[in-house]
Amino acid sequence: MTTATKTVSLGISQRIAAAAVAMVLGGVLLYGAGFASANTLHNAAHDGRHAFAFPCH
Amino acid sequence: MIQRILFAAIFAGVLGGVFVSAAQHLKVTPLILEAETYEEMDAATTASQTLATAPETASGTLATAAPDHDHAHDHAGATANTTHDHDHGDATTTASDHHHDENAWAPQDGFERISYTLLANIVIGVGYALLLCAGIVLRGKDITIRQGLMWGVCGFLAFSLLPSLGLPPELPGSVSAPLEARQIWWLSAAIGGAAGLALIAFGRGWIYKLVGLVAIVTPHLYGAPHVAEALGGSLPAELAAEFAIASIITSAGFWLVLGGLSGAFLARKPLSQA
Repeated sequence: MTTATKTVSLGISQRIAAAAVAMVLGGVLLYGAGFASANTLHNAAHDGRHAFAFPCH
Repeated sequence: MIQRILFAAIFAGVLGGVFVSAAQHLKVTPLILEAETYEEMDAATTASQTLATAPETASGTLATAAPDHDHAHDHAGATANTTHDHDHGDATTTASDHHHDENAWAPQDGFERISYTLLANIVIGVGYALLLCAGIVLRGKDITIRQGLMWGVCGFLAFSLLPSLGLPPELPGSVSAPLEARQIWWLSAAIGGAAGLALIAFGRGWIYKLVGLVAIVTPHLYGAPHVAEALGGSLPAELAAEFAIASIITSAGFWLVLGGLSGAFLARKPLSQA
């Protein structure tokens, strides 16, 4: 079986774009779980927030 | 490239979240549950006091942190006149600032609560893993598991240890400064720490390293928001200290797992390839 592995070289702009998307996405997740003040979100993530030492309450 | 980051971050984050949930069960969660019994006790005391005294203190902030609480141990009088190093914040907020809306939904204690905590830990895990993988990809050098562990150590420093220097991990029922001020300070310490560590590690030339050092220490020189009476209510100080240490050690384990796994998943192919 021949495996044709494509080696596409990545430029720095592609890496920056991918990293930026990942950072925004990560920030949104962390904001929702760790910072958002909505009561429901706070109560659901309460113990996780305390355990990770996000400022809570 | 984005698929690779997502793949690595989701796997590392989910596994890290599951790991940390198990680790928290050893000490962190029992301490939170224990602290809540004190928190409820304080809430009951405050409620009965506010009924008996001035109605204008019934909601919102009490004027001072110390005297309105029925202290089991008498540090209220003893520390009222001492000067605190961390006295620069608006010292008007107390535990009563917890706006626990009694009608709001909250998971039932037991299985439901554990499940939501697991879910929250996984979301936090994937969130942190995305930041970590983004950093590794931005750096652009191929990575090994060992280097992944180093990234994990730096994540722990930036997002756990450095912020905890100003705002130690707190139990429910702790008396502290207004939430927003603490969140802003926490973010500045974490972002300053992450950017600073990156500049020190990867900056070529002393000027970058100097700027990195400034980014790390500035939030700490400015100081985290605190109230004069750092530990109010009836929450025992030993419990708070135990929790702070348990939380920091658990986080350290979490970051090592996250860093090692992120490194392992991203090491499967050179980063110069799509």
